[in-house]
Amino acid sequence: MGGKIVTITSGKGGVGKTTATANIGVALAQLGKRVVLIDADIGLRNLDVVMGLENRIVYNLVDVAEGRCKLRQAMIKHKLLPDLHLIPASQTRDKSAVSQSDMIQVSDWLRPEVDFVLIDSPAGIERGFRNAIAPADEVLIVTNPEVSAVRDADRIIGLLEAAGKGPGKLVLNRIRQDMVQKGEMLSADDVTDILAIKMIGIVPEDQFVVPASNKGVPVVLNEESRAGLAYHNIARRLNGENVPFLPLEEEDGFLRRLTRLFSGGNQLLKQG
Amino acid sequence: MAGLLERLGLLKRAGRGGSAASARERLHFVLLHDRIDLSPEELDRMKKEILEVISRYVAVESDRVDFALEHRRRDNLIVAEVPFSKQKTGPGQVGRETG
Repeated sequence: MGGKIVTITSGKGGVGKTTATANIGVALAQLGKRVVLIDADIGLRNLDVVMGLENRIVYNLVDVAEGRCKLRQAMIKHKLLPDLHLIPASQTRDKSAVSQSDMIQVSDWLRPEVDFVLIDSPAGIERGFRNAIAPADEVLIVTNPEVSAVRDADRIIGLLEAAGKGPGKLVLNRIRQDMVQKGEMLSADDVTDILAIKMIGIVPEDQFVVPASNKGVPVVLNEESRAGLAYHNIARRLNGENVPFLPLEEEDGFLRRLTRLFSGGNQLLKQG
Repeated sequence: MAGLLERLGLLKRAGRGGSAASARERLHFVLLHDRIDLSPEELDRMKKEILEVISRYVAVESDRVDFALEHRRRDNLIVAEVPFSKQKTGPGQVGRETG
């Protein structure tokens, strides 16, 4: 059977699909897996810049679909991880340039060569989304703890089930434990209760994410980053490991509060 | 420290009253209607047909009937409140009364 095809989707835009795809891909490659990332957002390509590979693009997914190049020629090797490749989207065409059978064909070519193919789906529920899920063995739905994003995730879950690809697993992004504790943000339990699907990862809001995308170096490569650690855990779970959720989250919240206490104390000493 | 106390159950969790509570409530409402995927007209027709069936057996106080969509635990429910009066004076019961 070979590699596993995993599509990352969300319904709503801007919840972190591309960031999730990049980071889970890097983390899987760090685990020693052979990984290909496919940017299926034709016309709005972004995965290349998030991966820091934008200046190496020659061919893209549409070129492969239309037979202008071999699959290998469209695969860009990552700078640090030789077993990680990106097939970029075309920036000048639209969703109609690729069909569901193109996506299935490309995935079938890759399957014997790799351990994981991660497909970054465009936002929405139209053709681009349909293309992205067509070859999927497994679907990850990214959402954040906001009413609009959770609602769209529910719609996506319904469509996945209707397409025989459901129910998928949830990546809950940008959780702030301090706000959850104050009752000002939906908790992971709230979201799983409402959507009634399995969670594969909880990614905390993290100050390292934006600088990472500024530099084109996925945050999972930053060992200080809690979001990075969360993506690393998602990769391990995708790979079949049983990685517990809770200790990480809680310990971290407490540790952070302790650190703040001590750094506050230091400031007082300096002032005194 | 507050977090630790909360976890030990020494402080009352403030969580239930915040905006997350309205997010939960609003999501439940919105998702129920998204999931049932019926137009207001179709919902109306469904109610009428259900009432027709019930009215065949008992006398329904139709001005006090209430239909609602509810989420309980993991289930999406159509909850109907249909007050009925004891007497049914329709043709269905005539035979029993006279026999």
